[in-house]
Amino acid sequence: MDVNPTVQLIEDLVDRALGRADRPTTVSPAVTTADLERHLAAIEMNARVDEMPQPVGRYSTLKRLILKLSSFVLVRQRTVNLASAGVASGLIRSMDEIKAEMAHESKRQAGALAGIEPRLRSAATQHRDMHEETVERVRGLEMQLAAHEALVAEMRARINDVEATLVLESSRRHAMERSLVSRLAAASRPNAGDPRIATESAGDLEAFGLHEMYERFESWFRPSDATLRQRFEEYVPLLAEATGQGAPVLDLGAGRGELLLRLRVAGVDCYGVDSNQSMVDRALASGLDVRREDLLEHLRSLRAESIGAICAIHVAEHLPPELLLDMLTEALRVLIPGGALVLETPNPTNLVIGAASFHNDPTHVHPITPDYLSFVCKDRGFAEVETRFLHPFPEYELELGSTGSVALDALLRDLQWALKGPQDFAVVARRPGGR
Amino acid sequence: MRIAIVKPDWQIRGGFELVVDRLVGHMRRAGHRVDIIGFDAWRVDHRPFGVRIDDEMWSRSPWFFGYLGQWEKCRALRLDRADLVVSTQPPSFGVEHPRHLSLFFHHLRPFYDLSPYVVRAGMVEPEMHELAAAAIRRLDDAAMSGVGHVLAGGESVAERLVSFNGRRSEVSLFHAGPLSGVSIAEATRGDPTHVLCVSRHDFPKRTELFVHADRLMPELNSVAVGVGGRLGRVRQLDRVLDGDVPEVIADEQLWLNDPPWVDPSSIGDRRGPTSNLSFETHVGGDRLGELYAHAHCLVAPALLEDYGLTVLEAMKVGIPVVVCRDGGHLLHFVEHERNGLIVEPTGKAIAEAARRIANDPGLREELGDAARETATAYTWERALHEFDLGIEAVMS
Repeated sequence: MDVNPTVQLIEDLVDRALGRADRPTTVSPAVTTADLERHLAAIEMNARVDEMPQPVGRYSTLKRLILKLSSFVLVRQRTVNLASAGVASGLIRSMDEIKAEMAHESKRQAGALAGIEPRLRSAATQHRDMHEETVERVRGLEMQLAAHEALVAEMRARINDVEATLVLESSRRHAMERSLVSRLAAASRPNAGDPRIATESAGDLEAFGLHEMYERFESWFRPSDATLRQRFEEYVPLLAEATGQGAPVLDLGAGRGELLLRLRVAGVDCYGVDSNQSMVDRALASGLDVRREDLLEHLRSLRAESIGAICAIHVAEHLPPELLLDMLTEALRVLIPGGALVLETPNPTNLVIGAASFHNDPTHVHPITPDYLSFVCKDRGFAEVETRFLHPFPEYELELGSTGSVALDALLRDLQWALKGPQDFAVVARRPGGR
Repeated sequence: MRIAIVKPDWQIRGGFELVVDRLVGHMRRAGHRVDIIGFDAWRVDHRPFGVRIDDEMWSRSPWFFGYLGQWEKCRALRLDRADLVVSTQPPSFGVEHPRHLSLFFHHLRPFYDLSPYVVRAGMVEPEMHELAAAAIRRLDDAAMSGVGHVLAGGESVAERLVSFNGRRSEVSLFHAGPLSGVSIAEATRGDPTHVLCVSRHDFPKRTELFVHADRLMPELNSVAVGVGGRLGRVRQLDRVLDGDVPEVIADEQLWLNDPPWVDPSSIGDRRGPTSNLSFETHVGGDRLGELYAHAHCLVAPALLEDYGLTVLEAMKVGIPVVVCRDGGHLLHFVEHERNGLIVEPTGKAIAEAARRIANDPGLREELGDAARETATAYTWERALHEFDLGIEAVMS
């Protein structure tokens, strides 16, 4: 496609729509003969500039002297003026003659037309006769056409059926091919035990057409939209701090963009990265800036100290240990001094999460404990590292009362944590300096 | 006051036109003189702003060039005599007036939220579409900056205004109430006989998924009510989609496409050999009430719905609803397992949900009661109050 002329055309149209283009110049109205004659009379009246009345009264002698001295110039001016008036007068006469000729020609043509009229009447009569004959023939043809149209409609309906059947057959074949490819790939994959397998999971998902399946899986297990909105709202004030620094917030693993949408509503400059095309499409449909890229590759491509804050909600548990460390190293490099890092992940110290629901997701690598995540953040050089426990089950708020035994009470509290306690935790850390 | 309502005339009478009718009546009852200033949205010269667009170029993005033509018509309107201007569908918010209230229900969606979908469906030339989308967003941003106050038709629309246009201030919400006026007398409420879908057959309403679902629940009858550009195509699908449906049929291929138009009359009354689905086009309030009264549930398979008035109307009369997880604004009032079911956008998932409700009368009643309760929040009293607040915001 030759883009440049198209771009120029669109730019031009937008400018015109916004009223920025030059306006066309207006055309002067036509000048009439009466106007010309009026101007000519004015010229003739003032043409004889050397025949001015003799001055009288105060300084009349001086004025006469000036007139006499300038008379040789005024004489020449009179000649020019009279010649101009003569030319103009001639032009007006020519115009009048042309008009007269035109009027004469009009009359001549009117006469000729009068002669044509009877012939036209005769032709019209012939035409009417032919028309009636044609109408008769058309009626006959219409009856034949109606029969053909019925036949064509039936043929069209059959073609439509065949076409739609082909679409269905194509989708069936597509589904079978995908299934076959998945099975073959699963059966022949040589590196099932490779600890870096998760780094290839995005590519695998795409190759086997499973991105959409993962999106459906994720929808099945995710909390409701209202719950997510409420949860993400908690991060907005922290991440919004970055806006004042003029550096954007980066959401790694942005998914459908729920957090980005909350940030946009709060006026925070932000964008996201995700490797799942279906998720990226959903986010783009919400008008968000989400790019389909590998998270680590994206971090490596950024300038040092160019990002105001980074969040990665439920991402760390998808990464093998060495990639998590690489991500933290890169995050520290690209954050501005004082910039916040938020890592949220399932809380395995809640045993229901750690022992069961964590494993619902086959792309989880292994659970990450709060102690470990906190340690690696400090070890990589982050400061002000804080662990926040989030989203307990409703039963966690229940008042347990006392059994009368200190040991039993403590055990009950531990059980309450282990079974109904926070389902997630977040580590919030900052790049040293700047605050 | 003299109030001018600026509205592109699309020569259809849909839900939005009925909303405008209500508001016009409300303003007239309040003593205002209201004039609807319309312009033919279909007839635009292929010379927007004096630039001749040849047929080849026009065909590369008819939505874009048509929009420019409509934009030009808007800018040519003389609205000096109006005390207040209420704009409606795009690009009518491009009119210029010092007291301008925008009743904003949607953008020109193929260039906004539906943009990735129209590209994937092959409806547009991608490179040209990208250029056109950027141009339209620039125009709309400029127009939006001249609007005094925006009444956004629902939370989803308000979110799009923020994310696409950066419009946060001077925006409030307008929640239209049910329009059909259908009610179900208890005496007429009988045993359920069918699964119901009330929707236009247009992209991206995805009524194709309802046809697919019908094939997967042979023990249930289905009824689809509505008209639209894809009616012929959907009816054709009903004819050719037989009972031998593979479990993992690529549902997206059924609706994410740009098929040629099919004349519904060419299908006649013929149905597929295993179809339990009947189509009805223009139904009156009585017939709709009858269909609601005997419905197991209402299925709304639409993608990214702007608002969901039809779903609200069904909920108002106590019908549980089945919607899809990417149903847009529907998810603002449908809650899974409370007043309806939220499912994957596939025929299989829709069929499973409809069958679940059909086989469990207790669940149907429980969901239906909660649906009725949810719908009570959406009344015209509330809508008119929200509209009056919008007028106050502009006039102050």
